[in-house]
Amino acid sequence: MNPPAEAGAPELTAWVAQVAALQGLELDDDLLAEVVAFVVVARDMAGALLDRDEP
Amino acid sequence: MSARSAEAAQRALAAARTLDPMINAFSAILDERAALDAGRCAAGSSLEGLTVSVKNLFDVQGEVTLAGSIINRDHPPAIRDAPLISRLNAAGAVLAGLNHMGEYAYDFTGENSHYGASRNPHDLERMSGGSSGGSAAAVAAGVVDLALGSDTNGSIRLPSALCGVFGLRPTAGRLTRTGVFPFCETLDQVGPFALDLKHLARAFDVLQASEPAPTPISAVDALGQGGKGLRVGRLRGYFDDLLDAEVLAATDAASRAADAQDVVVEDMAAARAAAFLITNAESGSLHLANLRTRLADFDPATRPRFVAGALTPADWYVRAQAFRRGFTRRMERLFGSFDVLLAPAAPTTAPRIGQKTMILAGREMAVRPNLGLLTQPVSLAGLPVLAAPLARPNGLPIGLQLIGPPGGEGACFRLAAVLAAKGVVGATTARLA
Repeated sequence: MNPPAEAGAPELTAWVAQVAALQGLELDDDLLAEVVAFVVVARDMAGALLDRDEP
Repeated sequence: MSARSAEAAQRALAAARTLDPMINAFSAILDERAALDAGRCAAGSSLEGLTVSVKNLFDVQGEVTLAGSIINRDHPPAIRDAPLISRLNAAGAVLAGLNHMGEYAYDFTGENSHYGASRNPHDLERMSGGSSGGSAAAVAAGVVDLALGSDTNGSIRLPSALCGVFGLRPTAGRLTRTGVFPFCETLDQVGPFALDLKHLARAFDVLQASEPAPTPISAVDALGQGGKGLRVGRLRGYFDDLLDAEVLAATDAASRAADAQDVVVEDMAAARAAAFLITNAESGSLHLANLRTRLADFDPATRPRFVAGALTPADWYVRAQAFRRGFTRRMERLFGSFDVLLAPAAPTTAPRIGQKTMILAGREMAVRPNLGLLTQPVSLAGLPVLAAPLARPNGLPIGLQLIGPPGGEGACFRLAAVLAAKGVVGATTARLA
């Protein structure tokens, strides 16, 4: 399940909270915000790979 | 019993007690073990008279393998040494201590909220680099002759560069990782540090001698082969784009001394992205059970990274691994034209401890994730890299990456020896006491 590609912060935060809960992780608001920031970085990193067609 | 080893052990233990309050490189100083090792050392052994310390993710019999965490304090002591330690011991090296590291190796800075930062012996207010920061600092301060560390995305090469010592990340899979606490299964490698290039070569030969085929090329022999016919490429493009001006000038000077030919490889930013995603996904998965039950016991600097890693979509991980396979083939093809590739190891000299941002090419960037931007793409391809400090007796250390083809550590040692003979690379013990 990929996070929303174009969504703004509220949707992305909701996605992180939902997937974290599925993983059994309880995040307070501060940690949730930090994790969202990392997921944004990871999403950008993944974006650099998505258009490639590696054999 | 070796008198040389006994004397070396005493010197290392005394230096550790004197200097560690300044550099915070040791999580344990092993007096009894050092005496035992010295007593077992046979005169004439290849590493006789040399001392070693190891990053505290290596198993050492009777010691808890902390891996920079407080969670692992609850683990039982290791029942045997990691095989690489046994190999060094069998060759005469004396184990003198365990080194601090960034928590679970997810670190480029040498900082650790549980145990404090390992300090750079060349400037105690500055970072040692991470995650093998304690190992590099112990060597740079002259406490030990050798150290062992691990390198997933740069954790040997960055501390080597910032602390001004030699370090080796061997070819992927070259050295066993048995008895080493993992970080990222498909990227982790382990290797040695040393102040003296000859010591590094001797240690690597000892470490690799027990590995299965292919028959190892002696690093010690490579040191004496000279530079005639050695084809050196200087990686440019991505490697110059975000570089401190002082590091760029020093790397340019080293490239000229190596008679290097410029080469630009596409996809380095994508390679870094793939390394980032693979590291996040694998390490998040590794620590998921503890993230569920002991979240508060993680270092605040690593906690959100591991949590974010545990949320990584499988699609991203699969794409990153697919990219990695193609990128590795493209990198390996370069060695049809070159024997060694040269690149800077760190984008800047050591930042100050606690420093959050740095300016690179006019851009303000976060220190913690970006110190490794030059090492991450290289290790994605599994290539051997010798980190070589530039000879700079009056400046903060700057390091090079000398990158070889798979199994080509010998070419890296060969170029390092050529540059050392020209006075371009070389390490100096930090003056502390």
